[in-house]
Amino acid sequence: MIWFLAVPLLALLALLQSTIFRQILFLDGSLDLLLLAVICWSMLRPEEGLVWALLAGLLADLFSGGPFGVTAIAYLLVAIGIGALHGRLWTHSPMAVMAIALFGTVIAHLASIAMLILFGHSLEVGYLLTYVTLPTAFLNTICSVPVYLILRRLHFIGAPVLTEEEA
Amino acid sequence: MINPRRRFLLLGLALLLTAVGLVILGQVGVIAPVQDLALRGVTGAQHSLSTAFFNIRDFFTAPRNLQELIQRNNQLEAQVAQLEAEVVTLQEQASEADALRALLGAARQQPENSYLVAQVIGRDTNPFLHYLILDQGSDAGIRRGMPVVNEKGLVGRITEVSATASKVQLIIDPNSVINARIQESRAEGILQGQSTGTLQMIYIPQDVTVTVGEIVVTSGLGGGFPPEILVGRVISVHRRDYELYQTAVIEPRNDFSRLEMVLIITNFEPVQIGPLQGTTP
Repeated sequence: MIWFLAVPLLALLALLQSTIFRQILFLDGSLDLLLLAVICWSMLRPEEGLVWALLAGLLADLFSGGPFGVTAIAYLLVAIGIGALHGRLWTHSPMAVMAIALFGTVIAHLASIAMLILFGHSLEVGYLLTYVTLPTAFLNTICSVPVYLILRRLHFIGAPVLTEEEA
Repeated sequence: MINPRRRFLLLGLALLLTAVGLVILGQVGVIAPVQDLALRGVTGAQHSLSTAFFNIRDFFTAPRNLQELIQRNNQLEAQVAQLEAEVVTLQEQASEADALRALLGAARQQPENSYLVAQVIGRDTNPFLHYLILDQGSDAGIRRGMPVVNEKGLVGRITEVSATASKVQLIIDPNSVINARIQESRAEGILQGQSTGTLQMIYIPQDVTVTVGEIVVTSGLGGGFPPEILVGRVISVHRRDYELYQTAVIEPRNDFSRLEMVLIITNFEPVQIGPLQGTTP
């Protein structure tokens, strides 16, 4: 029902990510709206979350000089992890959303670093985890609840039979 | 009827394999036309968004009551940067002239560079890489390998070109490699980008004395960049007697987080020395 919204929404987020959010740095990290959208949507709709992860990752890779598809794989791993644990480990409380945003960001970054190293990039992992991953995870954690609430509204548009308690 | 969890994992696996397939296709170069088409569609929007962002940032970060003073200060800073660049060029030319006076019959002719101004309209979405997206592409004559500079010195080189945009690999990107020379000691080495935002100069001969504060410029060796473009200055030197070479940490002159406009050198043809490396004497 709201599938047609995914592509323009994620394209807009990718554009904002490359143009604005990557310029607003906290240490060397920045808010990753695309990843947040993938994490939140995967919590709401795990199967669609997988497709969002692939789409968002490919859109991010479009604005990157790195190997095409690396971000898509990193996002997909996060979406698979969230979907596999869906309904087992968490409720949809703000704390749970924040915790998943935190761990999801760390996992996506670890996957991304691992793949870049695989492609021959010489990265200083310790520095990157400290000055890029941790600040990004912090920003993503803070912003996760508002993003989740916005996307949950979108989720209810597509699934009006569910009540908020059921979700 | 497939179990929902099993179906989810199967779908995840299928999409993961799709992504891996796309990575492989991307490495082969099959994806490039699609990327070109997609980037062409968003360049205009990205240009408008980045211009608006720069204006808003300037509005909030500049103290308005000191506007005139800031404007004057900016002019003077630009003038100082320009003069410093000229001094570096003159010092380089004088140094070369001293060393080669006996061999050179005539003054060395420096080719006039042609420049194209480009606006930075985006940054790499991957936080571990250092690339910029510029608003000029193949329609404006931009080609892969062209060097990118600004008034402070070397910025990077064009690595991908679409019709209306291009990607620049910054010199601080971990995969960036530049042949460089330390200006006063004349030591040559290779500059590698670091995740920390600095540069590491490796393969500096042990018999050369490198001091902190020395200026580093491109050497032109390898044909990837024109010679004598200012890169940065030495901030530390690491020399161990038991090693073949010494290394130095170089601080770039540019603040790459605040680049808005750059110059692309359009008349420089990077030399492809790959075929030469495979030949045997």
